[in-house]
Amino acid sequence: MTYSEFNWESVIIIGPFRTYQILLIIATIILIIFFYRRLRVKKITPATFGLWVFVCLIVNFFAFAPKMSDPLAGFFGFGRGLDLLLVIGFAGTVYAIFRLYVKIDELNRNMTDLVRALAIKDEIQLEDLDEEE
Amino acid sequence: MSEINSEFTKDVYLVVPAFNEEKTVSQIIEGIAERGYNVILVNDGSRDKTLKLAIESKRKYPNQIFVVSHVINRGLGAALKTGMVVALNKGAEYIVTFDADGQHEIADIPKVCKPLQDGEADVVIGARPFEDMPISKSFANYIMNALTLIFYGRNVKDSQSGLRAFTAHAADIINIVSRGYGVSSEFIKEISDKKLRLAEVTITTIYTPETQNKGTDAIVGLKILTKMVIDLFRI
Repeated sequence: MTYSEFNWESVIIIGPFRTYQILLIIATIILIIFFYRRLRVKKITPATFGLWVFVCLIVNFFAFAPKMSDPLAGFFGFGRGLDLLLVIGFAGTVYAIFRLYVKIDELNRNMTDLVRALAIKDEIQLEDLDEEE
Repeated sequence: MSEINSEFTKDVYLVVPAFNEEKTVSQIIEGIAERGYNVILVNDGSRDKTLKLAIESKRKYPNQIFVVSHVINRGLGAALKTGMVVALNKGAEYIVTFDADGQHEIADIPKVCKPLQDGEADVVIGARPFEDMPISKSFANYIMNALTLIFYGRNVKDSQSGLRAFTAHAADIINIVSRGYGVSSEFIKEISDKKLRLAEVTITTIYTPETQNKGTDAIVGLKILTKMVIDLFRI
């Protein structure tokens, strides 16, 4: 049997579900458990937790009802929901990188301020050096 | 030993940032102190003997050489800012930034201070004649001048010069956040934004193998360009 002859429609694990849908459900459960644990130790706020759950639900909704994304895609001028998803994914990644850059820049500035404050506070005094010797 | 702080030099503080400059640091800061100026040497996390040598120089000129040290390297811009803060804390009237790699002539210090002392400018940039530079350096510097004009709307002869002089007021209001070589363009931006009077005087540049390895080349230029673009989006 060649690759093209393989009946991909037969890759169904449970009833009408496709493989990627099953994997997505598992990933969603793991992700929600992960964020719930972070919420319990107060590493994230309830709002952040809610946002992630919402994102997961949206992604799952469109994964199980892909046709539902077509009107939305059409609204933005895309032919298929998948195209819209790819563009959103790309834009999200660029935004995340920008946010990371800003965050790292802020950390760098804080570090520089700290190093500067230490340098000014501990200006080299000959008397101190002589005492140490 | 020294020309002891004359009327013209006692309120002038030279900020000398140094990162691994053991070959030149003593000669530079002692040479400056010998002419009666005050020196703030900012050791920027050097891994060589820069700090040790600076302290030895301080022993020779304890009232003129001041040494502060970053525990880790934070870049040229950060070191300049530290030095300027220290100079202002010590009551400087004029602050001159001076590279520690030996590319500037100590004899040029009075030249860059004069327009400030005459009340003609708030900031002076010592412009290096590009024709004296190696081609790769002069090309990079022409590009940086063009970018400085495009991004900050200010046409200057030498946007990347390390020899600059400020009045205390100008140094106080200029807000520098760049850590690396981008600081030179940022000074121009701040001069424009704060509407400070700028003068440019021609200075001598000494190009040695050591000084050629530093400063603006194509890679540094690209980094500065990236920074300029990102700064456009900064609130």
